[in-house]
Amino acid sequence: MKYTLKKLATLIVSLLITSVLTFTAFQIIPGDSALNALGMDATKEQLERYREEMGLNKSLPVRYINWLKGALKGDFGYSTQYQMQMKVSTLIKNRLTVTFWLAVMSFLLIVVISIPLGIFAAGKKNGIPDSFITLITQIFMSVPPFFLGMLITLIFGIILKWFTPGSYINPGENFGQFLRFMIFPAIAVAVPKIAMTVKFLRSSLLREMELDYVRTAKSKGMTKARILIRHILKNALIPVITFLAMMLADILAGAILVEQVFNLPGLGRLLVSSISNRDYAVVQAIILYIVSVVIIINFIVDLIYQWIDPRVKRD
Amino acid sequence: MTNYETLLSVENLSVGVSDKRKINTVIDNISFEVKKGEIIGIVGESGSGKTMTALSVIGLLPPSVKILSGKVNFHGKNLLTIEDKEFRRLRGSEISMVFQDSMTSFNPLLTIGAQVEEMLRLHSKYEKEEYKALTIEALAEVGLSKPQEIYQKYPHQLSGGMRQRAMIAMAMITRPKLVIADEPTTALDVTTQSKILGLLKKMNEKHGTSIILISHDLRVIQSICDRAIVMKDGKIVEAGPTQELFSDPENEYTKKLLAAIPVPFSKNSIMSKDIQNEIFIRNLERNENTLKKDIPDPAEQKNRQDDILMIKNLNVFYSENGKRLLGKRSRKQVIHNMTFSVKQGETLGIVGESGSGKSTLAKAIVGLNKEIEGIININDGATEGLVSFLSKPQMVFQDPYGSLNPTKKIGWILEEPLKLQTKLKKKERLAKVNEIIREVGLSTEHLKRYPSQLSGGQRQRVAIAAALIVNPKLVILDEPVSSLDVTIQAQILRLLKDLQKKYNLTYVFISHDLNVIFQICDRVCVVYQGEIVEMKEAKELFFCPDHEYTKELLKSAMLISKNCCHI
Amino acid sequence: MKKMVKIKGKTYHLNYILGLVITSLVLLIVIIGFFYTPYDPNTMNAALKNSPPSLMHPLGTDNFGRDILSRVMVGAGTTYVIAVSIVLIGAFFGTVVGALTGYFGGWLDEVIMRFNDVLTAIPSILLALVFVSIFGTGTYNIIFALGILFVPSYARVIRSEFIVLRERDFVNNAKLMGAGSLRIMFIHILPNTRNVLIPALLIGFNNAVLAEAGLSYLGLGVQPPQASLGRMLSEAQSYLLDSPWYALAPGLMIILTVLGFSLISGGMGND
Repeated sequence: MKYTLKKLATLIVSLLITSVLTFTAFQIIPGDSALNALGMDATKEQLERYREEMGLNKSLPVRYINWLKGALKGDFGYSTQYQMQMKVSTLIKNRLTVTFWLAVMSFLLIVVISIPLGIFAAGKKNGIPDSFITLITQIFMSVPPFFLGMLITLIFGIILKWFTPGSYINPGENFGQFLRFMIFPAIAVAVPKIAMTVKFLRSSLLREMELDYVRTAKSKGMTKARILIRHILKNALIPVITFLAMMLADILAGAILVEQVFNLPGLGRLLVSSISNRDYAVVQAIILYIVSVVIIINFIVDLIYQWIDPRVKRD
Repeated sequence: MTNYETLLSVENLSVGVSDKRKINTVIDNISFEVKKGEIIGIVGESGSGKTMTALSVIGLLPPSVKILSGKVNFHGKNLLTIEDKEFRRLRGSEISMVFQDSMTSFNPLLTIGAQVEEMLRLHSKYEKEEYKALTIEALAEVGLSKPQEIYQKYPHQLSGGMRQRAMIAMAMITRPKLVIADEPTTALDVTTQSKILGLLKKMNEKHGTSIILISHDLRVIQSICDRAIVMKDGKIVEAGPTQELFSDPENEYTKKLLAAIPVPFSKNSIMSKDIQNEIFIRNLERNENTLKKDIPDPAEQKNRQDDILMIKNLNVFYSENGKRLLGKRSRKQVIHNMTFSVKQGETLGIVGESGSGKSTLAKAIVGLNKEIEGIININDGATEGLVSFLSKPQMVFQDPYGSLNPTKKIGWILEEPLKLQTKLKKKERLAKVNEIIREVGLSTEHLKRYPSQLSGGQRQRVAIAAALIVNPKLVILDEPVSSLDVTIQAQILRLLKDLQKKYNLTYVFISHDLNVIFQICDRVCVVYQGEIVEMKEAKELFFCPDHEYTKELLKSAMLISKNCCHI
Repeated sequence: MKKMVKIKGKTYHLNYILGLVITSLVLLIVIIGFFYTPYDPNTMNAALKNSPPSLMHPLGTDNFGRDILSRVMVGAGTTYVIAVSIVLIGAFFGTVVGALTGYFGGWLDEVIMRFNDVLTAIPSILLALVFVSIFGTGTYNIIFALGILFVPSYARVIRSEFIVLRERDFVNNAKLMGAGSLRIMFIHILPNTRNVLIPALLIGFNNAVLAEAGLSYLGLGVQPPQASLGRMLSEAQSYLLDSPWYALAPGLMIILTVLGFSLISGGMGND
């Protein structure tokens, strides 16, 4: 209980720091934000009214509090990059689905493929030479996800014609078709991470196999399979959980780039276009959103730890 | 003790580690027998092959180690040729093992109960409730109070001694015929050590289990073994009944091992009645002295000036280095109100178990621990102008691997203190380095090496040289020989004595090992939970201990030798 | 079962050797590129638009008819210079911060590390995007942005090493000898972090190469007409259908660079 409270306190502090940083970062942008928003030929009165409306003439802490209040209600103000004024929250809501499914599918691919593969690779310690496994994983780890996306488009889209590049289907229209298309960007995001996870899980398993408690289990007369399932696996998976949680940040980063390759209307593309158009309200909101998700997931992982590792409760 | 039936016989066993087509023999053609119901000890220094011998009996050799030749007959079956499946069935039910480090030898994620019970489940068929009942019974049998609670506990929640008991319960729950105990007490404190050895003996007598006890410590072997085997470099150098073997060793190496066991415990050092009388008389005199203490004695005043170190009402604290932003920092008191002094030229021993605060005290004396209250007065003659440069007290640490910077060459390490503390020129510094390296029994050749290229004993010699190069008067030695093999221990102790004589050094010698303490110390200070419980002349302390704790320490150290030398 | 190779009495992993070979090849191409390229990398030639690899142009030409080989040589150079600068900035400040916080501890350490925790939880490309959106695009801005972003990871690595090493007895010994804090930190402790620091520098270089490629790919890094590996991939994207070789050349260059360095850093830890 004490552990949970402590972690909860850390979570709240981290979220607060994030919000402060995200807010203040955009306050140091050179130039007048009212002028930026309304353009060069705005009149003095127009500028004044805009500042009044946006609360720009209040002090920094007051503006932060107002912004945070809005953020907690899901209100981040208005986007400026489109002709039609749009609420930032609506914009984000529309784009979120794509990024969400891309991240979830990539994550599932990583877990489903790399865990059995890692166990297999550790079991074949004496079969396949170490250096070969290392080489293969290292090659896949070296491919940037967006380049992999281009290769996949080239091979599966253009040469094999398994899908038509650019034929993205809205999930509202046909969810099955949507997922079918999304599998290709998900593979592009997942492959380098799968290689990393296999390598990590394998070395974690091999390290555990060397430990004394495994020798004890052998001295009890257990079979290898039973030792692996009952003793080694749980111990070896503990660090892998942290690893996967840390990977989440990478998956989101990969998603931002891969969305660009496959022309997906996700958060990543919205972010890039908002940056190009100096639409700071949107940038702020997306950053706060993604970072909060990462921090909250890390919090959940900490709680999972407490549940599986008896040693954690003690500290 | 005779005519037991043979349980295990090892015949001409050779084992090697293959290393790129070359094979290094680690066990070289050894043969021995274990009879039903006997405890046999295997003693040897690290690298002697004793653990490999044990692992080859139970079939747990690491994959890089291969059996070269020989037989291991257990109940008429050659364990080296039987099928895996059959051997697995024997493991745990007929032969089981107790390992050295009980913390790492249990799975950290499973309860003690689950792990002990697993042994039973693997080798017998009972109802679910019976398994639990039998497990709890086994935990109770090894002397664990509240076995129901222990059953639910995780390994990290128990003390080392409790875990080792649980491990013995686990090894014995299937009533195997042979238990191999590999250094079962090495990681434990002396007092716990003797209890665990007692437990092994008890289980042996109760169930008639044969035990192979492996240890680097002769006294452990002497304490409970019927017969013993001495191993060196993979060979058996001598074997026989424990009593005969250690009272009248034939082999040079055995003699050397025995000689390394210090004064009061080895056979040839039993004190004559005369000495005991002498101590008794001295004791009386001292009592009279203390009576006279009320009147300030000019002689005593002078004595005070001879004190090189005076500690008065010393309290030392330790703060947790953890989170300080959230939650208070916790401060624990490690040393409670200590008062003592050290005379010029003497060796004061400080003995206590791990966690007693010995090392904290050492660090406080040299000024590495700043959280202190009380007085530490060092009068090391630095002000007398006789010494050419500063000579603050120096320290030699337990682990020479940790106390020498691994990225620097020995020459650099030895020159560093001269650079920092003296104004000597480069040439003079090098001359001094060359002189000191020979002084500690190494050659100038060693100056070009890195610490990792030296042996443990050589590294400790370098550490001593580094401490002495600035001409200190007072040297604090914190467990300086604990990480070394016995024969190397003896060499280092001799070196320390020689240097003390030559340079008129004063030592504060910290150790958990009473034997080492008696070998080198003039006076001894017994520390228990941060307090001095007793302080006396070394011999006096040994023969006339006052405090209960001192007696217990001595008893545990001696239980171990009661079989051979009846003091 | 590690494949080992023996050279001059020392044994190396096969992968380590492979890494050295790949890296030397890639470096050779880049270094030559600084002094000589077969064609001017920015000269356009309308007659040669999107021509496939040939004897004249071994890697083909791009949509402006520029020689891809020359552009890869120069572009990789740009990427390398950016990556090295990023790593140097990150490693230098990271080492100083990590050494100070790790050695002294205390409340400052606590605050910096909490801050650090938040920073490392954030995908670094995201942070880079924030920087770029605030300070604008361009070569110097991404060096600055990514350099600062690399500080926390080095600080973290160095700090955790210092926390372990400051308790070691050789540090206590140095204190007894009268060595000052700075001397202990940078002469006694720092060399002992090399087993961690050198691989971290190599991995950091890889991450910097990937980050530059990502940012330039998004059009937020190196600006045209300057070539960099990411910039070229971004341009190649639109011509994937007609001239796939355009994307392959810079893409393979990135893969080889990253692979070479990670094989080297992986092989160093274990010998």
